Amino acid sequence: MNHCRTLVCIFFICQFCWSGSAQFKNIEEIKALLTLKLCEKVIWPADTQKLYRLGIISDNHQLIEQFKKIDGYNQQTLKHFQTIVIQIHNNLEDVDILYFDQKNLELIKNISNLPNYKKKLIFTENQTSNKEFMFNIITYSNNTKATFELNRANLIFAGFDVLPEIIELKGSEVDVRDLYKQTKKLLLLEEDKVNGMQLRLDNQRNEIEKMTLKIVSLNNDIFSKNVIIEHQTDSISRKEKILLELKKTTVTQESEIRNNLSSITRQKRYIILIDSMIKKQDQNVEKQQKSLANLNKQIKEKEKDLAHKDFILKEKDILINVKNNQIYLLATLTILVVVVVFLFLRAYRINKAAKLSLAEQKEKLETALEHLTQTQELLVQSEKMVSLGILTAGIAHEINNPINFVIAGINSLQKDFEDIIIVLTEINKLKFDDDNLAEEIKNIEKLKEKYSYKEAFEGIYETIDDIRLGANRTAEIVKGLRNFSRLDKDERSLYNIHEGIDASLLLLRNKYKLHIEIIKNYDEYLPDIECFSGKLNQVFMNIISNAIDAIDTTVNGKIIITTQKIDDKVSISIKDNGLGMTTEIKSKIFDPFFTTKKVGKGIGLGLAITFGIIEEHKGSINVISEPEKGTEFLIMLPIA
Amino acid sequence: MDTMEYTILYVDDEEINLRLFRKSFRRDFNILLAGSAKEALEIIKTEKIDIIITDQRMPEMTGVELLKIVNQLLPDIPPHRLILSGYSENLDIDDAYNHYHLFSFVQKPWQYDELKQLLLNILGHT
Repeated sequence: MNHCRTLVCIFFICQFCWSGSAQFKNIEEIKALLTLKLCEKVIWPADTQKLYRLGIISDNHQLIEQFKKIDGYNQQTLKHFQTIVIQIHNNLEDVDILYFDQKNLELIKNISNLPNYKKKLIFTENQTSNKEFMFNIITYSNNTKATFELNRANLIFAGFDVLPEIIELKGSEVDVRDLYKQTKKLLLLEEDKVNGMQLRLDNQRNEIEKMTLKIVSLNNDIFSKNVIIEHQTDSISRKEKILLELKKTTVTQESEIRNNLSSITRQKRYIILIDSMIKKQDQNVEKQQKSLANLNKQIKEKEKDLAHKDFILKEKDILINVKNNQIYLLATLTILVVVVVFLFLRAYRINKAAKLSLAEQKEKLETALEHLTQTQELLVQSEKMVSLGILTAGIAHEINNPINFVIAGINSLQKDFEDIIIVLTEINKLKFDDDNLAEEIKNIEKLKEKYSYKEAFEGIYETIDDIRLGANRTAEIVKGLRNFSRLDKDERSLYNIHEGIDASLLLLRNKYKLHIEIIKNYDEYLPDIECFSGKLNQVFMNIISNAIDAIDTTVNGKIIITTQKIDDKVSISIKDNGLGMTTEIKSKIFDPFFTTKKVGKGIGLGLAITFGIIEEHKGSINVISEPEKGTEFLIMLPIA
Repeated sequence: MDTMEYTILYVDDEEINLRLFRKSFRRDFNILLAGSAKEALEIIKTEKIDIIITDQRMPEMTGVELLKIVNQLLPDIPPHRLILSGYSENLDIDDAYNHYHLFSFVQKPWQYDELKQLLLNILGHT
């Protein structure tokens, strides 16, 4: 190891062969002298001292003797040598030169450890294994001659140097390169060893780490287990506390139980007492029951007595009743007699009076009848008036419009005409020989513009048409009226049913035009019939008017009029989709004065009169109606 | 102001009535015609009207109903600008007098001079 540490610099070892003379006697002498010679050639570092002590490590006495011989002052070097025999433990401070005997070569290692070793000159004898010397004495030729090896590197490293004259001694120098290689090999070996050791170290460190980790984990386990143990000890302590408490409670409960037991025994005693009391009372009760039984017997006996007495009483009652009845009979008989007599008298008197009143009543009835017939006539008249009223209202409405056409038309016509006249007069003034004809024509054109001549001119034709229309319509209405007013004719005449219906429709037009559609299904070949035309007009007027009234103004109303010839009769159906009638109302509609209209709107004679007229003509009139489904009047009339 | 500046709207379901009204009054006023309440409302929405004369009995909507709607459309209509024409007054038009600014009821057939005077009165001329 020491070798490795100190080998930082290069060792220069020269090998010198000292071929010395064979004049000397023994090898030891040669060795000593050679050593001396070599020392002479060495340049000591601190060359101030004069005494150089040589330490010899040997057991060879002859060698020691020889060395001692060379002790003394050396004239060559002007140095004083002194030989000392060294043991290992000697203090090396004293010596300057060390000589290792061939047999003591191992001791170099021992000594080289010591601190002041370096500054010493080292001689070895036949050192072959390593170059740890400065000078190596080599004996040869069968131990008769000696030469030396020089390790310059060591010398210089220790601070020594050699004189160049050392060549004269003919030694050899250690080959530095070889030495270098050797030492390098040694280094590498040592390095390998080191690496191996390093690896082992690392392995050991890893193992140590693993161990520490294991230890850590084990520590954690221990820790957690400690925690668990703590918890468990906690729980155990808690449970112990609970146990203690329970024990306390059991103690208290035991005391309670003891108390309860004592109270129970007390109550038992109490119960026994009460038992005895109850028994006593039982006995009392028995006694009383016996006495009760006695009393009951007595009561029963008395009841029997009572029943007997009751029986006697009832018999007496019956007797009384019988007597009462007899009395009643007598009384009623007498009353009857009296009443009969009374009645006879009364009847006689009443008879007399009745006869009188009958006569009176007869008179009254006759007058009443007269009165009624008069009223009936009046009413019929007023119904006619109502019809007439409807008529006139209808006429007024209907005529108003066409009359308006005529009046407005005439007005318009007049104005248009006035405008045109103005222009025409201007035109008339023109004379064909006027000077400024063109200008005058222009003026006339302007005038035409002013008075809207063209518009007026065109308007006239239109207006004339409108007036004509108005006039014609009026004539139609009047004709219709004439047809209608044949009310009072007493003779039968040929009557066109369709014309009659149309006349009524015309007069009622205003009432229905806004919301009712009239659908006519007229039979083309319907014959005219012989009848009272006026009266039939009235019939149609009544029925159609009723149909219009039955239809709500907000509804889309329809009236369907169908005429047909069936055998020897004509049938006229007037159907509406109005309110309809219940069976009750239907049964009464032909009754005089029956109306479903409000007061003032109708007397209730319309259908009654209608019925009369139909009967007069030997026809029939039927009604088909249902509430909310409309009404149909079906009239059948004989053709002849 | 020239009376021709005034616009009168005449509403009637009879075409001949419309024609004749215009012919009678075209020299005096600007006449607009409507053959139904619907048409009248369209015109009222788009044109400035000074007086409305409407017939009472029309299919779909009566004159009174039309006046009611006119009042709704033009709540700040000047009073006395509405006239109803017809054959007879009845109870329905009381409402019109009270609530719908009805000025007057004109009986048909109207007389040109009377009606013209009425219109001029309304418009503030004598």
